[in-house]
Amino acid sequence: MGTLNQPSKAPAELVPPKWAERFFRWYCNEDLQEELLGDFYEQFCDRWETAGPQKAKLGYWLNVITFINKYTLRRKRGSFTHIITPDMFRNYFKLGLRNILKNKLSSFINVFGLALAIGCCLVVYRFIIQFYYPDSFHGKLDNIFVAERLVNEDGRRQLWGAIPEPLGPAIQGSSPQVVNFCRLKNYNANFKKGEQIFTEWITFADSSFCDLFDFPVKWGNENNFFARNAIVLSQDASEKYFGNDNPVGQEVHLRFNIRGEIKERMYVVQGVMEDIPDDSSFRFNILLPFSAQKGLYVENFNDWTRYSNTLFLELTSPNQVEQVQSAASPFLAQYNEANSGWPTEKLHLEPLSGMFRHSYMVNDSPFISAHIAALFMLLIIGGALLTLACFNYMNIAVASATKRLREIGVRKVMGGNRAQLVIQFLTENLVLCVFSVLLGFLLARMVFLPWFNNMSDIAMDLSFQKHPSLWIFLVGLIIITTIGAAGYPAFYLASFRPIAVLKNKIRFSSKNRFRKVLLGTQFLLSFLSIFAAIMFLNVSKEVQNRTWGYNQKGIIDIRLNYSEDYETLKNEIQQISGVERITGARTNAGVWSEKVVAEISDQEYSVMGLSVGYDYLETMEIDLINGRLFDRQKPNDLKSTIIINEQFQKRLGWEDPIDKKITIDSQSYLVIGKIKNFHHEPFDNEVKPMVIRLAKPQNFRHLIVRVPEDEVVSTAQAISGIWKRHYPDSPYDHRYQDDAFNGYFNAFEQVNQVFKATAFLTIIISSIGLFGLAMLILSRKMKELSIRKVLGASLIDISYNINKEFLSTIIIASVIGIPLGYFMLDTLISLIYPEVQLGFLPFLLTFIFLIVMTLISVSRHIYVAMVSDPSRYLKDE
Amino acid sequence: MKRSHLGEFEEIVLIWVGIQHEAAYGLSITNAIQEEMNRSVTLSSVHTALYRLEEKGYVKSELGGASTKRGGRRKRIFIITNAGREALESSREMRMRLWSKIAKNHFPKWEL
Repeated sequence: MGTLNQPSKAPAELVPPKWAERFFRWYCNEDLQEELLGDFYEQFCDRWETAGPQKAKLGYWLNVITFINKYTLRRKRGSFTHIITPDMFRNYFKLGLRNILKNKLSSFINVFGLALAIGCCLVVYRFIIQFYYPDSFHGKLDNIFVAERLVNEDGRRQLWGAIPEPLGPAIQGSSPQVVNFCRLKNYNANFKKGEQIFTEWITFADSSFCDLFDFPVKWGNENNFFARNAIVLSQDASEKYFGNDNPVGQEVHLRFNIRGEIKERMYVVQGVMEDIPDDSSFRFNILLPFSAQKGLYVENFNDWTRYSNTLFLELTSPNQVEQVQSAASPFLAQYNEANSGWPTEKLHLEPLSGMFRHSYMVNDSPFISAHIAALFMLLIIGGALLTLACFNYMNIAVASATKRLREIGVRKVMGGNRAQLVIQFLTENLVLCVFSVLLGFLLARMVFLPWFNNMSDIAMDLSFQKHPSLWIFLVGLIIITTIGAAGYPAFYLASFRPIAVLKNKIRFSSKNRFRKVLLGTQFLLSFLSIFAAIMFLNVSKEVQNRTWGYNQKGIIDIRLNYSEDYETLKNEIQQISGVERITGARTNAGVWSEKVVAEISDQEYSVMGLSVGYDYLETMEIDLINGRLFDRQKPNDLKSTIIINEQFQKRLGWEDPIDKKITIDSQSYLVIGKIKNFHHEPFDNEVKPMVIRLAKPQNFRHLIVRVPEDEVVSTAQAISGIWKRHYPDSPYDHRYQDDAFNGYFNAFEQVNQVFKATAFLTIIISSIGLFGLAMLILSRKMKELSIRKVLGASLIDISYNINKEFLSTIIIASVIGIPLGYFMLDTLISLIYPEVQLGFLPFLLTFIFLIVMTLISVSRHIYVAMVSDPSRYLKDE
Repeated sequence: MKRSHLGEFEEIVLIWVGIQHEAAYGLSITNAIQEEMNRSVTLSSVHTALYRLEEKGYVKSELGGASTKRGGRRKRIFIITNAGREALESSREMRMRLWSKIAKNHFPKWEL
């Protein structure tokens, strides 16, 4: 046939365009090629003589192109399509089911492994929906923007979420693009229920709230929500105070503590909200009209030094951001004039729909957020697990090919072509993948997602009603896993030559490079995930054990509300046995420190400031380096002395700071001591320069008690009794100092948990995969092993023989995994925690872990090989 | 076998298959139509018509001998079948019957 297609005696120049011919051969049905190419060539030669080479070539091309029609194309595929009939598919499905039932163990391994991976992918997908489509229940979502201030902090540009109160109305009045604005201001108020007092988080909101947002309402009429004296409760708050009854119309008394002055107000419940939808990027508890602030702590709403926590703007259309941003600049100038701090350069408008992935960049943002790195991390994990599970499938499918050689041979001899076999294997795998996706969905819904929600504090569900795109994702997963897992095995199995198969001449050897690469990749992925888990465990332990620069254990921090008398409490608390020291503070380390501007010989420095009582530094056990601490006996200390930390000394470059002068707010202070650096912010921030001054007891917001470490809880309880006796109307709010960085540690713990879970799943998927693979390899090797045994091989020989393929692969994977893992985690950890050094131990541990994992997975098979009767395997020849 | 309508172009091709008895193949028909009927056709449209005729059962085909003129490739020779002949005849009869119905004076004068 090949020779026939070649022009035999054509003159050298009479060669038709090569590419045209090639193209034609590519698309045209083989049955028609010969006759048509013949016609083409004949015409080509005729034209060459009559019209010249140019026209001949052009004509040839035209022929090739005009011949693309259903006859040239269809007949080629026609031979194929008439075999792919529903009946055939029914047969494939049946075969698929039978194969699953026949090889129960490897089917279980495949289904279970894939299901674990698919479950994780579903969680990741759900997280992505949350990430990319939050707040979807608001009808005006596209037009709602959140205003932020871009502040120039000595060259560092930072976004701040707090917005001066008058900006909203001002901007609406001046730019027609702003349809509406809504300010939110968070505050605390006390609710009394029986004898108990609760501090509730309340939100003052403009009456446009109901217009802008579509939070579902349970009870009440939206029109009355922001009437005079109206209050709107969340479902939780309503249940807490009114049980399951409808409280609309009920009176509620709230107590506000305005700088020590108690103001009680009565409100009428006008509505109760449904639970806030899971995908809302901001939350609220109790709503009050924004105007209700008047008379509480606001006299004048046109005060540019007052802030609301959030300002929402509704624009006429989403592309008017630029205009509104520039329209705000005169007002920002007004704001900058009224405030002495860092100047605000610009108003930044962020769409509400983007807040979930934006707000981690914004200071004091009340929005729920996730770092983009978390998304990448989860994506990588999901992808890696799915790859692992697919590779398991491939390995097992290729290794078990022997079982189906006869079938493949017979099918081919009976006229089945390669494409049919590929389709057959893919269809069979489809059955398996559908099972896996179903199981994976159940796993995600019942295990993974609850776990993830619990860990991350994000409430997510897998509801098809709310997220119809889940259907698409599930179908997509089925297709991806079917093709990803079964693509290679299908082509591999379909490629065997029937004669070789039927004559038993196919040789499987460990020369199958592809399989080794698969196995190696699996080991590599396992290596990386185990390594990451160990590494993070290590790092988080190190972070937990880091010294804070003072003794944070055994300290109780009780919040004062101005109204309580420090001295009274102090005298009573001193009576409790075990109390070692008591002090007060206006600002407390790790909880709140203020920014102050220190002036030294006309040079301004922005530093952190603490205002504390006598004995504060002694109580916290902060070490003095030189100079002295505050002294009650020296009356001047209260007004004109200051203590600085090492960091500030370093920054100033002073040899000896004692007796130097520092001016703060036009008040001159004498430096009397230098203390060791301590962490007043979580460890991801470096220690900042700090000054410590004394504060008067009437300004204290914290009462700090030092007790032995194991008595904190009992002492806190004892103090609670004293508190309630004296101040029954004031909530008792106490914290333990060593919880101060909990937010930071929790974030660490979350990453830790994710990596631990990933490592766990990776180990499970890899081990079951290894188990299945070893079983198949062994079943082929039984004869060899039996001969070895007959000739006297020992247990060690045999286990070496079984394991050698795995061990060499593990070593190769580790050699690749060590630098890769080092690079990846070094980058990751240096982002989160710059000071940690990666040691060598985790690498070694991971390596040992992998080997142990492999040995355990394979050990059962070694045992089977050892105890089996060699004659059973040698007999059949 | 399915009997179906014979298109105008198909009819011409089918007639040529009949004319070039046992020597008709794609290019020969194309050339014949171009030269003798002064009608511009492409190779592909002739082939398409031939395949369609083959589907309808009016022609059958077999691979003929190779020639160096074709670069050693064989031709597909098309032969008219009985069904094809019947189709042609019925088409001609139909036409003649219709012709006879046209009164002579219905034609413009000068054409007579």
